[in-house]
Amino acid sequence: MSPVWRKSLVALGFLLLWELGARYVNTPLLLPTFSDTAKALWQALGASGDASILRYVGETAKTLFSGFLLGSLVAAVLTILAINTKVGEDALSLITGGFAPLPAVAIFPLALMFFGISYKSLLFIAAFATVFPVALAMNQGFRTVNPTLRQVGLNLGMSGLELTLKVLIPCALPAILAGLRNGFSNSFRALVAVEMVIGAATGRGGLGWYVVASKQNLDIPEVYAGIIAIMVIGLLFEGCFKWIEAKTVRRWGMLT
Amino acid sequence: MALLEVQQASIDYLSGYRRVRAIERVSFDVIKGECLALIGRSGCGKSTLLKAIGGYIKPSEGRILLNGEPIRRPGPDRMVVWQDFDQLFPWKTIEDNVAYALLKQGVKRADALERAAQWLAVVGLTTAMGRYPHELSGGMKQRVAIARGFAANPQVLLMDEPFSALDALTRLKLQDELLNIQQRFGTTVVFVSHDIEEAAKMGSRVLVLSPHPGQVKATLLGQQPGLLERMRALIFDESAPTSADTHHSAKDNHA
Repeated sequence: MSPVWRKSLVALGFLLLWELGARYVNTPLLLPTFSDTAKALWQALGASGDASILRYVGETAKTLFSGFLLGSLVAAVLTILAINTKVGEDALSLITGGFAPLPAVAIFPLALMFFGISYKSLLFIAAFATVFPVALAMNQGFRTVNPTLRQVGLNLGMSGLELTLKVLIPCALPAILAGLRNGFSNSFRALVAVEMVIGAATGRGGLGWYVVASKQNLDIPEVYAGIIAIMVIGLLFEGCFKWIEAKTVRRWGMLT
Repeated sequence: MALLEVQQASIDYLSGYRRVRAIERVSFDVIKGECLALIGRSGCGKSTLLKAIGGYIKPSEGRILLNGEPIRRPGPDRMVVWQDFDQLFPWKTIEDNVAYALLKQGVKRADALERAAQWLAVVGLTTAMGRYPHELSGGMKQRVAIARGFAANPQVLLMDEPFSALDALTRLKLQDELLNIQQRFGTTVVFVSHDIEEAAKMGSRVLVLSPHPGQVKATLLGQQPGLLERMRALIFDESAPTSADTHHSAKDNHA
């Protein structure tokens, strides 16, 4: 049996277990059935205005993308400084050493102090959660470029920016992609958590708020539907990164 | 005038905070069209010397001249073939790897691709043109690197133990192919090796270096009877005659 079929069967078995288990315990306010959840999700997809889950998906996606982009840019600047100067290198290793293990949610109170209860706080957390995993991996990637390939680049007459763009970045691409992937999932996790808090104060927000608000309204199937939507977004991006890797570094044998 | 002149060159490198002399006042010339083999025990600085000719490091004393001009930086007029199998860009196909060396010198894309195809045919890799380096064996990768080296049409081709990581059979085969191509096109080659038989086979002249720091112990003419024995004696026997003596006797033998 091919792995795809096998996985689909396992998934189907899991959903069946959920459906039967939920019917058996019969506590719809704690564990709605899968069919109720699917129905709620379907309705939320088709609904308009505030009831439409797509509005919340859009909100989360917008913050996530902007934060991720901003964080990646900051990480790129930090990496460039770290690679070209000794002070930058020490600074990056100190900062990442301290901040990388710190959950981004932990600095949320600081974000509230600086930016207030607003979209800016969400953006800040999403960017902050991106910076360190990305900077760490990029720096690592540039430091482990095969010296022979760098020498080949020099041999062909390249230097400076051209060498960086045409040799060093492609060489570091496996590490850069891995870092972006980590940064993205880190950012997503932190964002959903802070959306729950900000949403509770402002009454608006993304998927994190959708889950919390549904729970407050006792729309329990919607709570589960929201969680599923969060999962799907995560899986979609995981898939995107895998696709990019398959088209580039895997195809080139740089990743096994 | 010699194509390449190494004049009283000394090269140091930093080991921790200590300066170590790798090469001590070495002088030799490379004549156009010859294949000069550099041989010596490990640590004799032969690779360091090659890197200095390549322009990757500067001699702390003396000069290295190409066509009478001091070497300042690496460049495609001194293409290098390295020992490392991973000297091809993994993200470019075989054909693009070779063509790229030409594109960088301003050759038009169509011409570069055509010349790349011709050189890949010379090394017998026509069928692998569209493949990526990771799909090739070590021997094939070295062939591509050789094709790239020749295709760029360098003044001198520098080879840093290019066959050392290959199995014995492939090594012998590639030595023959390289000699063949070198003679056919009259390319000037400096070939570094730690293998006495390889150096004797490849070199139209052989420069024997002594270690710690590297100095020229003897210059021998290649393809002479008794060459292998002489090289062995020079490399392993510390009491062998000094540089000046052997240099002359090698010339006498030839005459």
